[in-house]
Amino acid sequence: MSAQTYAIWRKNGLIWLALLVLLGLTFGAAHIPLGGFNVVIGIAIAGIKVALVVVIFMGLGRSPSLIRLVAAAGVFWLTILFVLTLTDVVASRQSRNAHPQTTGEHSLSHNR
Amino acid sequence: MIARAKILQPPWKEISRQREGATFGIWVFLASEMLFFGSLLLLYTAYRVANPDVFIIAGRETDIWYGTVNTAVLMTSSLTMAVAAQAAEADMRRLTIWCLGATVILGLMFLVFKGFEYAEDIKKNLVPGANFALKPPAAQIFFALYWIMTAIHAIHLSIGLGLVGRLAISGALRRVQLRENPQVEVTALYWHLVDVIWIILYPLIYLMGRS
Repeated sequence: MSAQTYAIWRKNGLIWLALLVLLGLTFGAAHIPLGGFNVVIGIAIAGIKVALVVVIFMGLGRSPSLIRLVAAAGVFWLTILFVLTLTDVVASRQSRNAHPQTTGEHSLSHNR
Repeated sequence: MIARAKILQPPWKEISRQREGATFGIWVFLASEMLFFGSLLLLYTAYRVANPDVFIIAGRETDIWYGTVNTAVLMTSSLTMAVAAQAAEADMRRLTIWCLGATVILGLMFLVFKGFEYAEDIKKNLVPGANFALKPPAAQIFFALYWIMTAIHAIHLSIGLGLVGRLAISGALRRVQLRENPQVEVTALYWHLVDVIWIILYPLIYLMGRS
C-alpha cells in the first residue's frame, strides 16, 4: 500500500471508527432507563454522527464559504419549519390541558 | 487532454469553474432534500408530542438488530464513498473503482437487510390497516410514518446505487475520466446525504422503548 493510499484510509477510517463507537454508545444508552433523556441522548449522538459525516466525509469543513452558506441556509429553513410549526403544536396542547372544553377536535392528540 | 475536454461541458470554460458550479448545485439540492425529509420528521415530531406513550409502545415493535446492522453497513458505505472521492482527486484510479464497487455492494446489502426486515414486519401485521397488530390507534400513525420514511429513504438509496454503479462501470471501462470529474463529487455528496438521513431516522425509529 502506498503512503498516499495509507493516508487516505487512515484519515477516513478514524472517522468511521468514531461513527461505529457512537453507534455502540447510542445502542447501549437506549437500553438504560433514563425516561425522557433516552430520546435526548439518541438525538444528540445522531447529531454528532451527522456532524462527522457532513464536516469530514462531505468535506464541508474545507469547503468555500459559498457552499457553507448553502448548507447553513438549509439548516435555517429547516429551523423555521420546525420552530413555527411546533410552536402551534405545543401551544395548542398546553392550552387544551389548561382548558379542556375550549379547544376543538382538530388537535393532533385526537388520534390517541 | 482528450478526457479533460470530455469532462468539460458548456457553458463552462474551465473545469475548476464547472466543479464549483456542480458542487454548489448539489448542495442546493441537498438543502431541498433536507426540507423534504425534514417535513416528514416534523410530522413524526408533532404526532410524537401528541402521543408520547403510544409511540414508545409502537417503536418497541421495530427490529432493533436489522436497524443497527443497517446503520453500520451504511456508515461503512460512507467510508468507502469518501475514500473513492478522495482517491479520484489523487488520481488513484484503481482505488477509486474498487471503493465505488464496495459502496454499491454495501448499498445492496442494506437493501437486502431492509427487505428481510419488511418481510418480518408484514408477517407481524405491522402494516397499518384492518389487521394491524397493535391496539392504540396512534400506533398506526407511527407505523405509517415508519413505512413512508424508510421506503422514501430506500428509493433515494436505490437512485444512489444507480449513480455510483454507473460511475464504477464507466470508470472501469475507461469511458470517463474519474479524476477532476465533478460527477464523482456530486455522487459522493448525494450518497453521504442518504447516510445522514438514515443516521437521523435510526434513534427515532429503532431506539424507542428499549429500556
